[in-house]
Amino acid sequence: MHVCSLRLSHFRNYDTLEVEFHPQLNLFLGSNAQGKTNVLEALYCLSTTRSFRGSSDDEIVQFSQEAAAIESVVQREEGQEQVRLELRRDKPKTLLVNGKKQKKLSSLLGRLPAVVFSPDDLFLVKGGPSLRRRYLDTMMFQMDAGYLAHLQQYERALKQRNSLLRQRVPNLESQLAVWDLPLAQHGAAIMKRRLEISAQLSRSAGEALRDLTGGAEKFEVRYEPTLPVEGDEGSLEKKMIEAFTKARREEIARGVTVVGPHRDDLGLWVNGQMLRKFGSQGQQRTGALALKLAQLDILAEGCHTAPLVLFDDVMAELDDKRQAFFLNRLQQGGQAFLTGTAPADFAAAQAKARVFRVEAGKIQMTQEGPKPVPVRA
Amino acid sequence: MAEYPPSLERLLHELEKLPGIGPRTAQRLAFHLLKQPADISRALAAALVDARTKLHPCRDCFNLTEETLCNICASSNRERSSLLVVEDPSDVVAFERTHEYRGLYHVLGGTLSPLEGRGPQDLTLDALVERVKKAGSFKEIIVATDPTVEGDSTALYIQQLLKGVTVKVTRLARGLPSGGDVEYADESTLLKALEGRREL
Ligand SMILES: Nc1ncnc2c1ncn2[C@@H]1O[C@H](COP(=O)(O)OP(=O)(O)O)[C@@H](O)[C@H]1O
Ligand SMILES: [Mg+2]
Ligand SMILES: [Zn+2]
Repeated sequence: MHVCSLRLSHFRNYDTLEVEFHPQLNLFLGSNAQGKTNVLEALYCLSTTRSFRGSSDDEIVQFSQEAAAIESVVQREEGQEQVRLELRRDKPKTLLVNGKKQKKLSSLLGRLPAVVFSPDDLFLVKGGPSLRRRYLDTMMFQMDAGYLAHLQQYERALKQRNSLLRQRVPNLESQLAVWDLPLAQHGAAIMKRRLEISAQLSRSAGEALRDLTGGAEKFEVRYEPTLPVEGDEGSLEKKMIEAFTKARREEIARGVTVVGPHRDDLGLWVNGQMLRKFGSQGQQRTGALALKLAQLDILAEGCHTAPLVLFDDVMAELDDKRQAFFLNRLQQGGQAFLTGTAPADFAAAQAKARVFRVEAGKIQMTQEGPKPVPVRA
Repeated sequence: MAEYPPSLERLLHELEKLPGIGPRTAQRLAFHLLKQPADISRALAAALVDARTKLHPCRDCFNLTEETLCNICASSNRERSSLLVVEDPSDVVAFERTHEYRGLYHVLGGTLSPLEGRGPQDLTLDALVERVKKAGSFKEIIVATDPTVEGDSTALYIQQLLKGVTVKVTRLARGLPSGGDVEYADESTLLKALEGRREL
């Protein structure tokens, strides 16, 4: 599967854009602030319905315009499919597949999985737990629509419950109880799934780190929930309710819910040491790369297709050996989109890629790239 | 930008207060009305004021009515053994369209939602308990709030409230799309939901 073409209108700094992609390697070169990342962002929107920069639709729609559109033709095994996403400043997005309006945006998820590599990935290791939860979540909901539903309902119930905790109402206990239950139900489902994926992640990221470091380092990813995740979902639900009851006084004093998956973290350990605290900058960078590579593997398996690889400004950070490693990796299947400022950073990749020059919201193809090598059917 | 005359400004301001109507829609509605003969605007204004002065909640079920009791509560053809609890008057209309449900209704006036500052005292919950106790004829209370987090929590609260009262409390089955809205569900979905209700 690959994206054949992309059309944008009033998306970020693109008035209109029409490009045809190479089925394997695509390279976008240009100075800063010309629109390279914006192209990757558009592709990611088609994959997940949202921006990887955490931007709202209001920020994405071109200044002084009311609506933006992203449209692409995707080549699947079953045939070609046209996907169109329309974004508006003050209304929800609409999704059209082959010209037909879709009831649910979420029907897009998992159809065109994507993984972004960016210099910000370092924060996956160095930053706070919320970034690691988002990393888990964006991977999970591409594979499992049920997970997204649980997550959305959990977050809604959590907001309601926290709001109630801050109100001074007479029968607070009995009112809290009706929010404890949905929180426990959806929370238990989320924790169970996160535990499973963490085990898979630990294996996959471990392998990736071995590949990246030539077997020198042992990587471990540990799921760190706020209460032990044991037994089936039903008994976990009960344990959560008990935990709420135990924490009631603290929660009322602080006005927030203190147990539940919204407080989860992923512990990252290299050779038995906590990467965030004791890893060198280089080790942390490598750890982040391994996490992203693991995401690539897990999504490929879970979605039964090779994800799009969106490689934003990352090549320049890699030494020759790593560049060669990634290039080799990217050629094993899947379609990749790479951005950078200096052609020199792509010496090895250039010969194999279609090359585009990006300037002030305009894109020009400067090299068509090799005839695509057929990779698996 | 040119300023609007004060009367137009006021009209836009009032329209924008309505749910789902932003500045653009307000503008479209206002200019549409102003293009039409004055009678159309007069009829609309009269209908608004008329509806607002004549309609009020039914004494028993809080559905909208022009009388003391709504026509469902007043009817002698309805079964007085089951009570369907809904969020809004529009949900009553949706269930009536199925022609299947023959019992009575109770309109809550929304769901619990601390975020919007809506607690139990803002819904017709006390009146519900009172009504169930006083009537003594209800065998089943069917809670048909929307299948949202708020709808579910409100259903749970109702179940707690009715614990001491000896009636069966059931919840509409999940035939409704999760996160969906009772009012917009089509008739066959509502029917299935009604048939597949479960005890809370
Ligand atoms: N909503 C928007 N409307 C118009 N231009 C925008 C919008 N959002 C960002 N931009 C412009 O996009 C450019 C940044 O594009 P980006 O793809 O991030 O650059 P780079 O080529 O460095 O990756 C900036 O010039 C910025 O002003
Ligand atoms: Mg950029
Ligand atoms: Zn009535």
